[in-house]
Amino acid sequence: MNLGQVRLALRLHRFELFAFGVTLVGLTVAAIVVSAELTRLRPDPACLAFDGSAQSAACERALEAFYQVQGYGAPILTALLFVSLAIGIFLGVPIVARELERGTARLAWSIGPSRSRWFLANVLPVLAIVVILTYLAGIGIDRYFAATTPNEDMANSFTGFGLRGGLVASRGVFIFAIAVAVGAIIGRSLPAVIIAALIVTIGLVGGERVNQRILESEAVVVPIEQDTAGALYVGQRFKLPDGTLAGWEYFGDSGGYDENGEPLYPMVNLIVPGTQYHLAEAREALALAAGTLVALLIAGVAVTRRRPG
Amino acid sequence: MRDAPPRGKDAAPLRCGHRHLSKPPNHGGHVAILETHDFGKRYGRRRRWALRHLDLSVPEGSITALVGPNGSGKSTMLKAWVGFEPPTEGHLTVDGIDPWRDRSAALMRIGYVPQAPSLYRELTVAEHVAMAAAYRPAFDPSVARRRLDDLSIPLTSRADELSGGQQAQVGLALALGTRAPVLLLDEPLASLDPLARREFLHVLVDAVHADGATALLSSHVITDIEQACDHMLVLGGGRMLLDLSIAEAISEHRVIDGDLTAEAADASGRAVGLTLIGVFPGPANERLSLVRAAEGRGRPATLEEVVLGHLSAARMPTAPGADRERAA
Repeated sequence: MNLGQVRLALRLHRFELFAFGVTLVGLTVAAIVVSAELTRLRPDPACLAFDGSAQSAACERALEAFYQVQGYGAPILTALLFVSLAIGIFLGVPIVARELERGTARLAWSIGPSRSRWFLANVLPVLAIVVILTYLAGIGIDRYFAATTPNEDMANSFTGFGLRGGLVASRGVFIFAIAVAVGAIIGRSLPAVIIAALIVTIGLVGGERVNQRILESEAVVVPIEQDTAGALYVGQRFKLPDGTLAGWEYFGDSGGYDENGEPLYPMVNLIVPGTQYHLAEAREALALAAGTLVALLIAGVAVTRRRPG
Repeated sequence: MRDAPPRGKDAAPLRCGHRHLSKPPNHGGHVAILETHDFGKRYGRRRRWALRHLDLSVPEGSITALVGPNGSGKSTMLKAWVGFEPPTEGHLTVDGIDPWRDRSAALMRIGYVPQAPSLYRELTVAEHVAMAAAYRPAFDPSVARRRLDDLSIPLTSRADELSGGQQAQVGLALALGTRAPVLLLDEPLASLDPLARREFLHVLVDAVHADGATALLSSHVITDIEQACDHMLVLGGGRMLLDLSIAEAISEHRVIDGDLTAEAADASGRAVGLTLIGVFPGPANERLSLVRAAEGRGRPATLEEVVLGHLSAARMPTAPGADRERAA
């Protein structure tokens, strides 16, 4: 792959790259600005640790200002999350599908003797842009979560797990690869966008469930009084005298409470400690990277084998 | 990978156009650069065969026309040589290389001009040339640029700003820039006006002359073929109907007014050496019969009449003349 090929590949997709680039960078900057403002307005920890008693007037003012800015930030965060997912589909599908649709594949694949080289030269530059843009989005979202949960160490916190940091880039790249493969197989942009969106939804929801099961298997038991800030909450259980854990269903109609509403046995929380965040993040990133490679491989095979339309 | 065959002055001498048709090329004496062997193509298992049992060869250094009605398999044939369509049965070669087994090596010997203009509308002409140079190591941008300069096609224009004729010329310039020994042109004239067609064919003939390449041009504009080509392959009904030089095609056929089906079927017809090829409608919807004969009754056939006669024979498989011709 040479510079000329990179330049041409980016030029062919310049409209989508420009539109998504400007949108994503704009939203990221907005998220960072809102995060900075939230950090500046961060109320005293005592105000945030609301225990039901009346707040001081100063606390109320500080909280009002903080939540007002947070209210501005919420739609930015939602848009950033959505665009960071959509970018993969809208940049991935056209790479092969539009060439097939417009008939330009006939020219490209007859001039260049290697379709694999053509595929890599067209996919890799756009992929690099997707990585950069989604990673930036991940940083923006990370900052926002850090600003809205000031009492947590985000490096060791499951708050916003899967929606922030490097996982945003991993997910964006995975979606991009699926979109490239679907576009290469179907060969028409609009149906490919719809089918890629369906596959991505099913894949991400399925992956989320598998991930949840794995995390549940790694949960530890902590006393109910213990601070679980930053931890991934899995559930609450009763600890029976023999040490085994039981849910409400174990006790039938009584639900595990006596007539006074007191639990029959001590209650515990099942959590995955925030210190496990990096491990969980790395594991999900690895799974998404494997999925990305498989999808790109399928796309490459489709390109080398299919008719150019 | 095999080395590309010699080019330019080292290549086989080119016979092209009517200027050289006094002695038609002896097909058997030429090296075939494009070949099919019992080639068959069917789209889907239940569909009919687009082409079947096709054995043909294109002589090296020729400009050969591939003629046939819509759906006769011309594009399929060309796409198979480019490696875009796998054969359902049989095989085919480009300079001895099976494109389905070694597509890269086959493509290095082919410059292809697709049926519809396949240019990137977002790119300028210069960027198309740069793209071809980036993807094909042997591509010579100066050849393409010179052709485009000669035609006053601005390199800075975007593809979607060019006329249909200019787009076709850009496609041809890119194919010529490959300096491939074989040019495959899939109905490049279909959407062009007469002047653009004439210009396109001039560029093609000049380039083939200069480079000693072989060109296979699919078209159903017979007058253009007559100007530019020295050999003709006619496809119809999924099979080869005619494989002759243009000169042979014209000199070996005559046209007789009226429908000679009954006469040709009669023993007396055979006695006078009358071989009816087919009956087709004339300009005023009168019936005309194409016969294979160098002289005698009727008048010399035009190339268009030769093609029409053979195509009509293919549409009437029970015609006695057609049967005899096919058997012969």
